[in-house]
Order: sequence, then C-alpha cells, then structure tokens
Amino acid sequence: MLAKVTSFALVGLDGIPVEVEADINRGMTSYELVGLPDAAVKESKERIYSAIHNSRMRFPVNRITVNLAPADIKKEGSHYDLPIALAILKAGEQIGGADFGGLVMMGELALDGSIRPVSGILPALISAKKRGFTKFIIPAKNANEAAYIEGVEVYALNTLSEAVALVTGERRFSPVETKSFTAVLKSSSYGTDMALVKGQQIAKRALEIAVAGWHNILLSGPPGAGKTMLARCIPTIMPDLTFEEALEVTQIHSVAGDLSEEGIISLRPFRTPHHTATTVSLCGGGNSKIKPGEISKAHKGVLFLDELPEYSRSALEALRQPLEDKQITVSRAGGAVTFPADFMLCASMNPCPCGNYGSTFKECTCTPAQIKKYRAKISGPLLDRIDLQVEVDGVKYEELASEEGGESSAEIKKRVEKARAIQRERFGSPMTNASMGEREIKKYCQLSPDCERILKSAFERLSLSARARSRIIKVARTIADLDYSAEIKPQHILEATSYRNFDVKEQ
Amino acid sequence: MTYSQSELGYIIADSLEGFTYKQKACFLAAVCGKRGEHIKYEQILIKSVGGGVYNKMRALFSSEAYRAQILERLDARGIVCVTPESAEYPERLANIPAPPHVLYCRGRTSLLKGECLGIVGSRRTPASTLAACKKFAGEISRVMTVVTGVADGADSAAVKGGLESGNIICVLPGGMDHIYPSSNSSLLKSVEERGLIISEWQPHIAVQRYMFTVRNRIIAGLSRGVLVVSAPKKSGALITANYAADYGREVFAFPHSLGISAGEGCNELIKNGAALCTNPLDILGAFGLEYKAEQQPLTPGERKVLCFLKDNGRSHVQAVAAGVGVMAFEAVTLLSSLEIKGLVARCGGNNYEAV
Repeated sequence: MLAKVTSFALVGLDGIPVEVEADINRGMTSYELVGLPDAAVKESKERIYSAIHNSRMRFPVNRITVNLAPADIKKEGSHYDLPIALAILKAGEQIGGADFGGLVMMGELALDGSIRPVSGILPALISAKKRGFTKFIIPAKNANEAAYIEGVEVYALNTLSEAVALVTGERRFSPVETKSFTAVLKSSSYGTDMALVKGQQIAKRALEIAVAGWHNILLSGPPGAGKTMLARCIPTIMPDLTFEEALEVTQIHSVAGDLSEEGIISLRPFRTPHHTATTVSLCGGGNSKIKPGEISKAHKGVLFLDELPEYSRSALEALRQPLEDKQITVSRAGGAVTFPADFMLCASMNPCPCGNYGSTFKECTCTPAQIKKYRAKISGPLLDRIDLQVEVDGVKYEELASEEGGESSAEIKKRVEKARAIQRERFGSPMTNASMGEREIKKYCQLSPDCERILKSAFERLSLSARARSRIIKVARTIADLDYSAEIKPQHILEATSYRNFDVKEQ
Repeated sequence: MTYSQSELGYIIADSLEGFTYKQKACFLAAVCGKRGEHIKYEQILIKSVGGGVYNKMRALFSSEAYRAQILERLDARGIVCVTPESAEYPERLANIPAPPHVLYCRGRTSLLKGECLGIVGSRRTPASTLAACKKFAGEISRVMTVVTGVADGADSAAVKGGLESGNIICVLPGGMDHIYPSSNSSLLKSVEERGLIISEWQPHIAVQRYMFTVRNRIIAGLSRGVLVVSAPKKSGALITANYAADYGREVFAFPHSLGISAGEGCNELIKNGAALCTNPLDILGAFGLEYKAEQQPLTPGERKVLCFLKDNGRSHVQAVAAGVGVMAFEAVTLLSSLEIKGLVARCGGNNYEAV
C-alpha cells in the first residue's frame, strides 16, 4: 500500500513542502530511501526502526521504498523521522484508518519512541501557513515556537505513540494555546541599564543619536574605559521589537538552532563575535545546509565588534554590502539563500596601539606613524558606513566610586521612540535617517545658508574628507529629530561634526 | 628648460656621483671658477681624489652626451634647477657657509626670492600646539613665505596652514623621487601645485639619516627667522634653530607649560634669548611687517566656553559643560563651533584646549 505524509524542507528561511511517500510491496526485505537525502536523513532508518519497535508496533518486513518529493531538493536535518515513521506505519497497514490530509509534521525520533525537538520549526510553520496548511504535529519541546502564530492548529507531542493516537483518532489532543507577545515582552529584560554607566555623557548622547537614526557607531577609547558596557546598553534604549520583527528574528534563530526555551525572541539581539571570526561565520554559509551568520543573527539588533582593527580584513570588508542592503545573499554551489541582516553595527577600538592617545592620566607612547598605521587597518569604505565616531573617556577611580549615574534607559528610549515616529512619518515607511540616499538627503535635509556656511568652513578648517559630508548631514537630521526640529539648525550641524574623529584626514 | 653656461656648470658638476660637497666645490672652482685659481683647486682636488679620477670627472663634465642625459632626466620630472648663478637663487641662502650648489625645484620658484619664515617642530607635538602652528602658518603666509620640512606633526601642520595662501616652501631631506614619510606624498602634491618643493639632492638620491640635519641648514638659510613650535631636548628643530642663530637670523619659540617633553627645547631656547612668540604679529613685527587680523564674531556661549578653557587649560567636555552651566551635548556644539573657527583644538579623549 502507498502512504503520503507532508513535511517541510527549509531553504534559508523559506519552507518548501516535501511529500514523504512510503510504499510497501512484496519482495525481498529491503529499505530504500530516495529523493536526495543527506546523511542525517539516511540514518533515520535505524532510529525509526527502534522507535517503532519500542512503541509496541512492528516495523514491516517487506520491500519498503520511501521517497521524498520533490526529488531535486536536497533534504537535510533530522525532522523527517516522524513523517517517515508514520508513512511506513500507514503503508504497512498498521494504522490503516489514519488520516494525514492537510497535516504537516516534523520531528526527530529517539530510539525509545519519544519525539525530540528540531530546528527551523517557526519558519516552516510560517511558510506552511502561507501555503494554506493549518494542521501541524511538532515536537513538544518546540511548542513555544508555535505558540505565537494564530489561525493554526498545532499539536505538540511527546512520543510516536501519541502521534499515532492522534492520526488514528484514538485520542483527542488539545492544540497548543496561543500566547500573547506583549506579555512576553513585558516580562523580559536586558539586565543592564544606561543609569549604571558612570559619566560618559558624550558617548551616551552619541549612542542615543545612533539608535534614533539607526546609524552605525564606532567607539574609541583607552582599555578599560567601558566601551563594552556602553555597547551592551544599546539594546536597552532601542524601541521594543514589534511582533512582526520578533517573528523575523525568531525565524533566523530557529534556523540556526539556537532558540531558547521561550520559543520567541522578544529582546533585540546583541551579538559579539570574537575577532577571530571568519567571514563565513559572520556572513553565513555552510557545507550542505546554509546557515545564517552573526550578521543575520544580529538582525534588528546590535552587532558589536570589539577591537575592530583585530578582525581579519576580509571579514570586515564582507560587511560592507550587507550594511547597505540590510540583507545578505549567500551563494554556494548548491544554491543561493538570502537572509535578512538589518543590524546596527557598533564597533570599538583603542585610539592607538598603546591605547592611551588622548588620555588625561597616561602618556601615549606611540609615534604618529604607528597611530596612522593602526587606524589605517580599517578601510575607508567601511568607515564610510559608520556615521558616528566617538571617543569614550578613560575612567578615573573616583568616578567609578561616585554615585552619579544619569538618565535611565527608559527615559532615553522615550526620546528615541519619538524621533523614530518623526522618521516614520517623514518617509512613510519604517525607513530611518541612516538609510537615506542622496535623493532623500536632497529632499529632506535642506540646509539653510547659515548651515551651508558652517559646513563649508568645517570642511576647510578641520580638513574633513569629502565623503564625510552626507554622513554629517544625516546625523544632523537625526539630532534635529531628537530636538523635534523640522529643519536642520546650525547647532545640529555643529554637534554632528564633533562625532567624526576619524574623518580628519590626519592628525 | 634652458640654462645659461654658468648655471649648466653647476648642474653638471653637481650631477657627478660619489663626491662630497667639498670635492664638488673644488671641481667647480677648478673648471669654471676665477681665473688664476684654477690650478690651486685642481691641485687640492687631485690630492683628494687622485689624478685619474679627476681626468674622468673632466671628461664626463665636458661630454655633450652626458649633459644631455642629465638635463633630460630633470626635464622628464618637471624639475627646475636653481643655482647660485640663477636670478632666483636667494641672497640669504648664498650667504650661508655651505650654500647648496643646486636647488632642485618643483612649483613656483618665484617664492625663493620672497621674505621667508622657517617653521619647525617635533613630530610628536601636542594637538593644541599643532592647531596653533597651523593658525600661525596660515596667517603669516599671507605676508611671508613659510619654509618647513615634510615630516608628520609640526611640519605637516605648518604646510596645511601655508597652503591656505600657497606661500609655502617644503624642503625635502632627500631626492624628489623619495618622499619621506611617503604618507605625506599627497600633501606634498598640493604644495607642488600651489607652492614650492625644493631639495638639494638629485631626484634619485634616497634619504639617509645625515641628510635631515644637512637639510635643516637650508630651512634656516632661506629664512629671515625661524619659529620653533615644539622641540624635545634633543631634536632636529633645535638644530635648525642653532643654524638660524649661527647665520644671524631671528629665532622665535612658542612657550610651553612645564612637564611637556615636546616643549622642553622651546623653553630652553627662550631662556637662551630666543624671542617668545604668542601671536603672529610678534613675528611680523620683528620684521617690520604687519597684516590685518580678522576678528571672528563669537556668540555669548562661545565666549564663555573660550574663557573657561583659557582659565583652566586643557579640559574635558564634561568639565566645560559643568563650568559653563550647559548640557554636555550643548558644550560639544559650542566647542565644535570654536574648533571650526580655529580657536580651540581637540586633543583626544574628548579634551579640548584653547589655541
């Protein structure tokens, strides 16, 4: 007899329905699995065999053929165990009355017959829903991932026997209850706050501007100045993730297989790849299954590159294109996959090799040539995409011991949200100031003659490089937004020019 | 480029390789010097290099093919030679003990005849001094020509200031094909276009250590006075100042506060009688020159910030904000504006200093 079950294959974040067909005929005992399975899928036979036996059922002894259609897509991962097992049972007429119509299932089997969690449930669920599927069987441990999708009937089950009971109608199960995203949002916290950072008013202000306009930022400062701590506070002043954004982010992490118990990501990601990271680990890739890299995992959040000059040149240069396009297309021989990568880049570095350039209490021992060489490690085109470059102060002992903290993240966040609202209204889309092109700059950043004059003299006096111009204007636009000012005023331009340490042609 | 016979003599004699300055000077005196002295210098030179070599020198000197080759090499690089026989050769330079035989020039050679001020300083110069150096160079170059080197730090700052008017001469330590440090080649390119770069070495000669000191005598020799903006106890800037003093030129120096190593040499100079200089007019006044300084209007806020910096010296933005009674980001705005006006300098780590 022939049996058919539907499952899903993932290509990037896209789910493609896969028909799992099992056919049992008379003949010499054999088991054939066809349809471009990879090693993990091929090995499923042994797991299925034991799982069926240990669920007090019988693995048919006949000529078994299992086909995964369409046969031209490579099938990867362990989530075909459950559909294959059920298809075999039905084809062997042990669960003859089972109804698989419109049902999508995914799950890995353990030898004892229990269902293990798998990665990529959420993106598969979302694409299946788009294709009209509404009924699902998934591993119980993945239940939370499915809990935020409305309009679907999801059964999160623990064992193969339960799955059998469900499809044969022996037992009734209640579908996973939908949870409210706002409740999760309220209960989650970043565990840090701007109020905990002592001093650093310039850097805090710069971070506020950066977040308000979604500008990338470079923090430079002596070792131990608190660059990392500041960076960790960035997500705390970002507007909360919307449900749609959260789903997008969760899908990426679901594919990467690093979702937590909660099932949905409600906090903005903060990724800190070490400087030994390879290009592939940053951008995504992989041998058979293409997985998202750090920049995609930082989608809608912060990618923090500590000690920027220490990263390999090729890894840094690879960031340039995603920084522009907000997504990355990873191409391999097996195909191309596009992952979203709309992250805010926050990088940190020392001002010079010894780290004490500009420090008030330690003398810098570097020669100008050494400093130049150190800074030249970051290419101009990459620096071009970093709108704000700020110095972080070295902290003295007295400051650390003092009580004075400053504004809390919540207060800053309120201002950021208002500035974002202004931007949404201006562009009529979720676009931000940082992604303005020349056309938008011309349209929305009209400079008064006064501002033009200041900008011109700034360029002459401070020997700024020409490409700093549009960057300064964009940042000035954001500062004006934070100031609720419709036009860019001279003081906005002036403040913007002060966040441009590295643009000065040379010191 | 066409040269007179006597100019050619200098150019060709200078192109002979493997001889010292003195030997070349003897050779010049022997082949085209005053009548009656030929034999004397010939004898000296033969004693120094040997008769065979001397004959070879003479043969090469009179070879038309060799002359054509040398001139072609210079023309190909767009280099103009100025020799003591040329009209452009400045008298001041000719009066020093060992004036260069040839100045290889690129740019406006007319600058050589002007009134020059040498500006020298250390490569490691504090940011506020750099800003002051740039400002002085900018203002002085409107009436005089600024002469300096090509190093990072003070030299570069002086060049940037001088470029505002284009009255700037850079004296290279080696030949023109070898810019040192190479990172300044783009800066030199603009000097070449708007000012003048000179060297006493043939273009293909690479820089060697001793050439820096030798070059400094030209900076001092060209100038009516030398301004030392910064100098540690042992530095090239002090060597230039010593040359200037030896040649009877004025020496000016910026005062520095105690405990800054880049200022020790300057303070020492002042102690020994150099003119303390705090205003471009100090220098111009010494030469009987003047210019009208532009007064930049300041807002009340800017004036307050500037006063605070002048009273307290180098200060952090937060200190300025607290002192003036504004928010930190407002202080940043005011400081930026003052920086653009050239009145304060940013010296790293969000610290600022009045210029």
